[in-house]
Amino acid sequence: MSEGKKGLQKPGPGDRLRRLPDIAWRKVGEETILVNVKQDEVMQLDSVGSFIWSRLSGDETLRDIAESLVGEFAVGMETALEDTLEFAASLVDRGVAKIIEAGRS
Amino acid sequence: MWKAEHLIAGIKVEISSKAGDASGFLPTRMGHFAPRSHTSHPDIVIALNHDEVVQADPLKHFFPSKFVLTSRGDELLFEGINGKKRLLAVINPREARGEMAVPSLRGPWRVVEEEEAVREAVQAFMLACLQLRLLDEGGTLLHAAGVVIEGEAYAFVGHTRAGKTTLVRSFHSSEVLGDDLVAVRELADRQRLFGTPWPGREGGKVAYGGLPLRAVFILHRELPPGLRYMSAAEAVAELAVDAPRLGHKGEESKLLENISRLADAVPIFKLSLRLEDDVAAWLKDFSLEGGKGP
Repeated sequence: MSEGKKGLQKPGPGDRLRRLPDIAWRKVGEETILVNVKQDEVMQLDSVGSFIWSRLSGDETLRDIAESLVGEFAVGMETALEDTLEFAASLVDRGVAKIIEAGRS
Repeated sequence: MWKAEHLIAGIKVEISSKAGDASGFLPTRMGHFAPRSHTSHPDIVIALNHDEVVQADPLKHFFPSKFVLTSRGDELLFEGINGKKRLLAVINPREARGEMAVPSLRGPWRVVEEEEAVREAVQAFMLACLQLRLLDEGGTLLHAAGVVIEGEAYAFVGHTRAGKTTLVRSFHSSEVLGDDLVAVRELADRQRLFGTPWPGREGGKVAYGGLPLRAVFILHRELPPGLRYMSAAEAVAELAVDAPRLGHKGEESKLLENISRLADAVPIFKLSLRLEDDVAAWLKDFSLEGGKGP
């Protein structure tokens, strides 16, 4: 974990993330719709975002999730990890997920 | 005790008051929603109870607020938020009963704003109770205009200033369900569109509705004129924005589920209109031909 813009937490590959409890969500086809109840905000995730979101139960590290992404979407590990970290940072930034365990990256 | 029954989107709503006649505090079109029979039990009861603390300063109690629901055990709390939270009413979902403390509805009012603040809060509570029950029944309220062509209903969804009121002016009043708030609900294996007691400026002639919903159009004035089919996910995301949300996770989950079922059953389009378009004529062609953009 490192400090990102404005001092926000930026997740690293060894971190585990968990969806925050105030988020209602539903998979619609390959995509997922989130409603952030506290912020009164609706988000639409594409198929890659949906795949990552569905695994944010706090059990897997972001590296684990990126490895699964490689198998599911036929991308290289470097791209998968980069995409996973970037997406995870945006979820933390938007207040829909939190880092529950800071691992060593 | 004052009591009245109404039938809104197939939901039987009983409103009772121990604080005097509440009819002046309900939506003005409420009279259009009288039930066809008085035999069955109400689906939800809204009880207005006189309270001396509220009576002492109604304006302070019902200050202009954003209203949200939060959980407390098995109950849902209806709270006003304006800087701080204030408990305004309690809903017991299991008993399908909501209770709100109000001042004497007969007045006297010290300033006109007191009466208006109570009216606004009573209607917001009524709307929350109705939406709760609709969500349980597989439906939802939507900020939309509703029109009826050849026995089938069409919804035009959009936020304030999206053009809903302008749009319904091109229809005969007998074809209009409303231009502000409609209800959609699955009933007898069809998604159906209903009017509500909050029809907006132009609507409310077709009071009950309950007609099969043929298509939903989400208004996008910023796009070039035309009609574009939306994917289910895109439609669910946009409809969730335009439904009255209750600020409560359990209810938001039901809303997503109900809207997803709606998107599976009914085609949903993104629609952009020019001011000069004759929407009524275009929709009649659409209903006959199965859909070309304006």
